[in-house]
Amino acid sequence: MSQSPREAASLTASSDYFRNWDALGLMISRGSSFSGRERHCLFLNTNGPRFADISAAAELDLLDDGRAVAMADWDQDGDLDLLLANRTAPRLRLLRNDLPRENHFLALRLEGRDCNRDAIGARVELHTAGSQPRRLIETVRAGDGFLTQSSKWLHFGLGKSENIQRLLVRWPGSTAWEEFHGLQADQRYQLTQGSGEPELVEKTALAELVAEPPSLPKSSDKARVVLTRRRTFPQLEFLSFEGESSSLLSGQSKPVLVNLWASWCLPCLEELREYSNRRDELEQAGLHVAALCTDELDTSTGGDLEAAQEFLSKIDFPFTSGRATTQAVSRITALHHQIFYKERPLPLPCSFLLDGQGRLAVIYRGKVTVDQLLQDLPLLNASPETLDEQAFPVPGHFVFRGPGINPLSLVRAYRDGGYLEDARQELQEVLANVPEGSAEKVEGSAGPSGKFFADVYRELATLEAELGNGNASLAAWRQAARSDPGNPALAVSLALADARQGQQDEATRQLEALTQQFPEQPGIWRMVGAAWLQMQDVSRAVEHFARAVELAPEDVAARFDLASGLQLQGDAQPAIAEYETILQSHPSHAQALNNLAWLLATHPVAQFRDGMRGVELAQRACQATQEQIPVFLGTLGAAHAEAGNFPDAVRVTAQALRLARGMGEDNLASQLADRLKLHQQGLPYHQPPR
Amino acid sequence: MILSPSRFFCLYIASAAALLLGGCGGHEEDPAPNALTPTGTEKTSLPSNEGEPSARIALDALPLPGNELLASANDATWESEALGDKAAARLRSLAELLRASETISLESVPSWIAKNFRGGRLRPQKLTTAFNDDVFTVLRPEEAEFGNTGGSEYEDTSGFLSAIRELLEPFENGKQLRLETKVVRVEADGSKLRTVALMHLFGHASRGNVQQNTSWDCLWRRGADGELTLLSLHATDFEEIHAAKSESPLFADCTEAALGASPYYQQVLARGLDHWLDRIETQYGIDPSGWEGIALGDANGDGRDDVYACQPGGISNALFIQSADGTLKNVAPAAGLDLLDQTHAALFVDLDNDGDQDLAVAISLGVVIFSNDGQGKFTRRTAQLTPEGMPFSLSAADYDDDGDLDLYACCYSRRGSVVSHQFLGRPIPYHDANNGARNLLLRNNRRWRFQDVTRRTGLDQNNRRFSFAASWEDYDNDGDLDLYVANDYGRNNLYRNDAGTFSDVAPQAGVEDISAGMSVSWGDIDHDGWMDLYVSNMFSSAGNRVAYQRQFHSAADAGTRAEFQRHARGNSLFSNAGDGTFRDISESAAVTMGRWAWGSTLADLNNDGSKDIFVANGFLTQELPDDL
Repeated sequence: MSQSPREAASLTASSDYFRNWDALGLMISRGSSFSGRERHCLFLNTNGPRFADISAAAELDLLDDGRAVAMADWDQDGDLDLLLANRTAPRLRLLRNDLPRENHFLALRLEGRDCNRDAIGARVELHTAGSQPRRLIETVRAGDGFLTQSSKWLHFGLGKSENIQRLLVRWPGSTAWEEFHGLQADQRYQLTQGSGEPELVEKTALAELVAEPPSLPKSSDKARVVLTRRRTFPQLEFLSFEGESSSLLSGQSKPVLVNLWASWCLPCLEELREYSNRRDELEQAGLHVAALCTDELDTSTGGDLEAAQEFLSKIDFPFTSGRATTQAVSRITALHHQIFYKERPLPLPCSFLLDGQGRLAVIYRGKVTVDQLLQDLPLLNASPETLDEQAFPVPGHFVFRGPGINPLSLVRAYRDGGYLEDARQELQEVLANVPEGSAEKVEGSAGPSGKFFADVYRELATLEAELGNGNASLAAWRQAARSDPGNPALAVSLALADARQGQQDEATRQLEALTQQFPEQPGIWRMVGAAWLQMQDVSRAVEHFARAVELAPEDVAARFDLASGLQLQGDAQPAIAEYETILQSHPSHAQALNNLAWLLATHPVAQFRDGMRGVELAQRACQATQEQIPVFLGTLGAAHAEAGNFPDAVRVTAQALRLARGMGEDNLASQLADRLKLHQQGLPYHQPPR
Repeated sequence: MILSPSRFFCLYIASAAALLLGGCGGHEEDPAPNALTPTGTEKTSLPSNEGEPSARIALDALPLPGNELLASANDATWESEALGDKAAARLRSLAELLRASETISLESVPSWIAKNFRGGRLRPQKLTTAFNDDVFTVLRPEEAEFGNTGGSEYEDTSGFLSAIRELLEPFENGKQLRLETKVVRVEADGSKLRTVALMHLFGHASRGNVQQNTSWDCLWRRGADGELTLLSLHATDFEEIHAAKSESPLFADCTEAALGASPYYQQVLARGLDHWLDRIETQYGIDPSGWEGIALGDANGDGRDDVYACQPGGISNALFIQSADGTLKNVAPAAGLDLLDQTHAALFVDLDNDGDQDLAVAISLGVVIFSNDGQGKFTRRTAQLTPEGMPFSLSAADYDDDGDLDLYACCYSRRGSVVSHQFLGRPIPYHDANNGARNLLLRNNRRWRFQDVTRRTGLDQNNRRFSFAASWEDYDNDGDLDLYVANDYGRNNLYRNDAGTFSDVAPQAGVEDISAGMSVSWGDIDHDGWMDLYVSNMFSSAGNRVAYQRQFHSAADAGTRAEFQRHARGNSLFSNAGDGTFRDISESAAVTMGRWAWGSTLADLNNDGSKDIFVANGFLTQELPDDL
């Protein structure tokens, strides 16, 4: 007997283990059941060590192929109802709990204020009084079971006890318990964090549903399936009734309906008779029909070719007809299996509408009328949107409909998670699978594929740098720049990579080459300036920014670069002047407001500091950004501190800190935490002197 | 979960032909008068009916590539499976006898009951009431009086008939009786065969429904012709439930009333998935699994829960808004949520703390986030690609206590590992697989930005399993949320949260539950203030039969055998001891036999303050019989 392998390495794609999985999948797709017709289970808690299986007694032992189980007091009558998602019909089932209501209940909805608003993670502890005092606990959850989210309402069964002795809530992020008073049994309440007082919630479910078993449509084999993607229909050999072989689609440039039929199949005969009767309409619409008789394939009865031929001549069938070969039917069946998950045998009759290029467009299982065919012919020239409308049972839209995921997206997702090795492997696979003939494009000049490879190499370069492989990163930047030589951003990145690898001269040469190549473009000057900033040469950066401003004095972004450069350089006075210039024309330029406020609040030299003005500017920056930017709030906090307003400094800095933590900005958060400590001690923050 | 050990064994031990004819497993329930009969049998009739097709061209007549694969499947044999099937068939055939037990004569007792039959009581003489709430009464044998296999007070065929009549007494008459049997042990020894079968009997009596759950230990003689004769029969376990007579069902099916007027329901949900498998191109992500979940939440802020129903690729998801009268209406197109993407799960959560319910949706690409404008109109904000596999269950928590909700997404099989049939994984090794797709913890960085922090928070530990479900809970009562993850084909994870950093403590906590994990549910079943844990797995009769035999995995160590046996045991209930560990009380609590389980839940259905357990189950009911 084969065993499950213990190591992936010992497996090949053709090993017995995988082959058996494939066989299993095939059996399923061919319609075999697999642990089906199982009955749902209900285990009753008997308040003893052993539960009781009461599935059948409670008549909850449904035969559905059940999946998700969601609980909610759907009708708000004080007990938990079930909402079930199934594989089988009905795919959604609502079961109302109609157990006699002799016990009491309490329903709670929680709202967080200092924690997440849904209060997910809040723990509620309820103590009942009476002869059997009990402690009941519940937690607010989002997502449990299998692919399920139940209601966020917490439901407590209280048994015979009507007396709620105590109700405590521990909100997420807190270890303390908040007590809520005055709760009555058999009510629904909202508990809001910090209020201590429950609020009654009115019943919003106002009617009782009628219970009746769902009436489900009869299963049907009849179907009309419009394909969204055409498939080339196989070249079919078929035989004339006299036994001569011919090829079905050779030379055909008109739409064709390929029809499979048998002489003993009544709907087949009705269908062919209609085609014959309405030949003029079909011909006028440009639709040809090829009816292939499958009588011979039925080896058990032997079929009746003569009867088939006789029928066709009786109705004076005007279109192509002949005998389907086993090979022809196999090919059609195989194509059908490729399109649908189910590998079902083809029904009779069935028909395939092909477009003028011999591609399959519509599949008909069961009889198809001439009216339907005439209605469907325009689909052969329809837009993709029209085909979607016809193909999917209900309208909708796709978030993602590509044939595959862009490998670079995969790489970025891996990087995002810190899976750098996996990201690199993914990239290497992209590079290893370069389609033949595109290799010279990598080396050569830009083109569509050149840009793609520039992207790939840029990812690789960034990745190698993160992995600490400076030389590999540099090599990748070089490849990227070569793949897209006209791209100045890549040239700058390459220069920076050179600088990181100690090749300062090479970096300088490249950056200078750029400004020489584009001497009149402020964007280039800004980009190169930013590179110098990264290379810690602030004065050179400032020179470049100043040149950009000269070239484009109205460009606020360029002037902002210059102002920040000057600020970094320690030239407070000119920096202030540049910021003021920006604010004259753009009074709510949030970054300029912030930077200037920061300078006024924290400059090491007292003469430059002006806490009050700093507060005013920082407030404007915060307002312009709905108090959502932790950096700006931090500046405001620092300005308050400089102005001597420490309560506000502490409050706003704490707000900034919470926000920074919430946004995962750990470095900023740690700086804010340090400053918060200072402000709490009644101290402002000043930058260290240069 | 997708593949039971039983099937896995069967693939190795039976020929493909035998499987198709009903090798392992077989029907486990007799076609009782009130049982549903399978639908979708092949049509052979000639009359034309609304253009319905009238026949099909059989696949085995055609030289299709798949035929070779099926023919080449391993054809080793497992003799005991055939014997188990025979015993099961014998026991099932008892149903007829039971239904007629009042009137049956000694002569018509089937010949396969040995003339020298010996057995014990099948229904204990003394029963005590283990539970009674005026709706359900649970009767169990008085201890030590029952389950002793030595009792042989019933002799020959008349004794057999007496034992049966006593068993059926509470049903008053057996005419409506339904009998189900699961043969869970088979031990062949020369000419003797011993089987253990779980028996479920159900019927209606004048005072209400009666259900018996019992276990039968049978000894058979194997005749020269291979036929089985029952030598002895002893009940080793017994439980009887009486439900008080009720004019209407205790759980009322309101599907039609709630959904019947919805065109979407009529068009889409009133039909089983198999209908659509034949009508929607596979390329859009539709497979037979039925792994499409539901999320409840108040989408439009009217105080009532609404439902987001996930669908396979090619069928747009539905947002059902609940009206005041309890009916449901699909408004997904107007709400902007009518995704055609293959969707496994969704979650209503307030991700920006603005007081309305936003929506996270697990589609083939990854997790898509929609914001709610407060009126039930949704805007797509971001899509987080899950690089290794499609996301399955989603669950939210503020794991780092920064005031916003973060999302955990389970991933199952690796995107790259599928061969031809997308939905079946390729676990290696089968019972302890470690080649699944990584799950993700997505940290909410506000303003609709999410970041994969799985690795930096320690959650990448033991993170290559086939994860179906996860749920957050503070199992150690330390104020932060810990995470339990149920994995198919092997071990589960319990990640303990220590200030935002996690470690997998499943082994030391005793909750690895090596098995086919599919669902996680938390609840305090014993009122001790500590959250207990119920996990759905797969109960497999065939797996039980095979894995307990000496020949099984004979080359492997005892540990591997035990792991396979554990795989077939069924669902698990872990009682939280309050000291960081759990006790596995699944068997003593008698909650393992949840069949091929999917979603399960600990929920107090009768408001008595104690958590009951509901289990939805059944894998694939298709047109061909249950013979895989």
